[in-house]
Amino acid sequence: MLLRLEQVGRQVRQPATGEVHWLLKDLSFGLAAGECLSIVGPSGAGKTTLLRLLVRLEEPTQGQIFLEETPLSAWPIQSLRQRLTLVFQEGRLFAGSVRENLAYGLQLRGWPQAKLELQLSESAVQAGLPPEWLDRPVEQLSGGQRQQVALARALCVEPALLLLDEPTANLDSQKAAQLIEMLAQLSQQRSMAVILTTHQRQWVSQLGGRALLLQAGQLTWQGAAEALPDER
Amino acid sequence: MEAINPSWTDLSRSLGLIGVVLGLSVWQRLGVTQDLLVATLRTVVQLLLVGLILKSVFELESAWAELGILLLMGSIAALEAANRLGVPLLQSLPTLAGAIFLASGLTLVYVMQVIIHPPIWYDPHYVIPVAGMVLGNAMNAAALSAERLYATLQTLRPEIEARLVLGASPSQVCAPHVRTALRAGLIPTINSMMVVGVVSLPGAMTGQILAGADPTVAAKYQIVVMLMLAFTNAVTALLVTSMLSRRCFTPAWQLRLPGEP
Repeated sequence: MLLRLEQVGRQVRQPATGEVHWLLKDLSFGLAAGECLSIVGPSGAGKTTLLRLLVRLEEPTQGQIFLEETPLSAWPIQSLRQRLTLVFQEGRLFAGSVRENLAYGLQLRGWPQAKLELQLSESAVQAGLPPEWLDRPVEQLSGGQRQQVALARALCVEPALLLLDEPTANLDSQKAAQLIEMLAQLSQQRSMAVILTTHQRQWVSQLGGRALLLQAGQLTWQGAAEALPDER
Repeated sequence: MEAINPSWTDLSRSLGLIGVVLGLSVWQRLGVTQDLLVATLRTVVQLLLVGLILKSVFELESAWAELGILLLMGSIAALEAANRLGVPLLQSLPTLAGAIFLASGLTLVYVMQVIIHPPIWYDPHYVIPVAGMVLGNAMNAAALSAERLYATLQTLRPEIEARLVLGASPSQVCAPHVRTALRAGLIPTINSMMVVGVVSLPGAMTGQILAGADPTVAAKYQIVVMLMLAFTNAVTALLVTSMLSRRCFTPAWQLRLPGEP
């Protein structure tokens, strides 16, 4: 198993009222290397929290998460974030050119310039970015284009597990379909596992693999993507 | 020239000035009459008290008593700086106190031992007023740079997290923001160095001239004061931003600002 969750939960305390409530509770599932998984649920179901736990921006209150059978907390944090990365819903691009955004993760890893250039052009192509975009300032890009840059930026660092938070939310349905198609292909070519969250069920079977349903922080269904039940 | 020692009668006449302000406040219904009264009272009481305390410390001629006063002044400066931040006191006070004491201590030792070298090395006539200026500046620099750093990290949280998940370490993420906070902390110092003596005479220089000193001597002291305060500000801001920015991240490279669970 690439990833395994055991009874994972995350509890928060409302600072104003002191009330505690569970954002996620008793979550258990696994993911094999190269596999795709869609996490489906309405907003507020805990999808983003789950991704934040996986990339260790937050800690679970209960249970444990294993990556390659080692608890996340036992991974040196730098190695962990070299194995998996997260594409945020809003893209969260850095001010500067597309090229600077793509190069960032590689520069952190100390890649030599020539190799870095090659890698970022390749990732740009895979994420569907035309080469002439590379020198554009990100401020000139549309919402959908920014999403593509964020994806390319994540692909550059060659994660074994790519996490995407609502990648289709800001795209029209044609663009969204292209993106899902691209992710399914990338996953196969790179044998990269993909977890994405969505509240739009139509993309789940297109991505393939497996799916799970989250409702109010709890797992209500899991199975093959094609078998995802219709919305009740 | 001998310094003129204002008599108590002279001093009470200065109340006439504030009386005019009080009258203005009542006449124009400014709503600050009570505050003005309290502030006037505090000014009189606090300064007379400080004068008395300093006088007795000077007469004691004890390095220990002086050290006690310095520690008290430094602690008050640290508390005041931490209080201004509006974050849980325990999360910022140790860092701010450390930065204020270290930066001020370095400044004080250098100024006393390398520049002024008074005949008695701990002579409180020199040490205490210089320490007052240094600590006051360190306090402002610490509060301003900490405030600025917290505000920046808070505003840029989305971007910082995006960098973290790509594998950046907290120090890599923070380096530009530490620089920004430092630069912002230095700008007021630079500005005041630009206009010093042109628009108004600085307090220390004014005091010396009033006390009968040769204006050129007063100017030399003021140069030392300006340069030493620039040093204190820069070192305090550097220590505060670099230490606090580290404390804003967990060992797992998660951004946790003060007060967050």
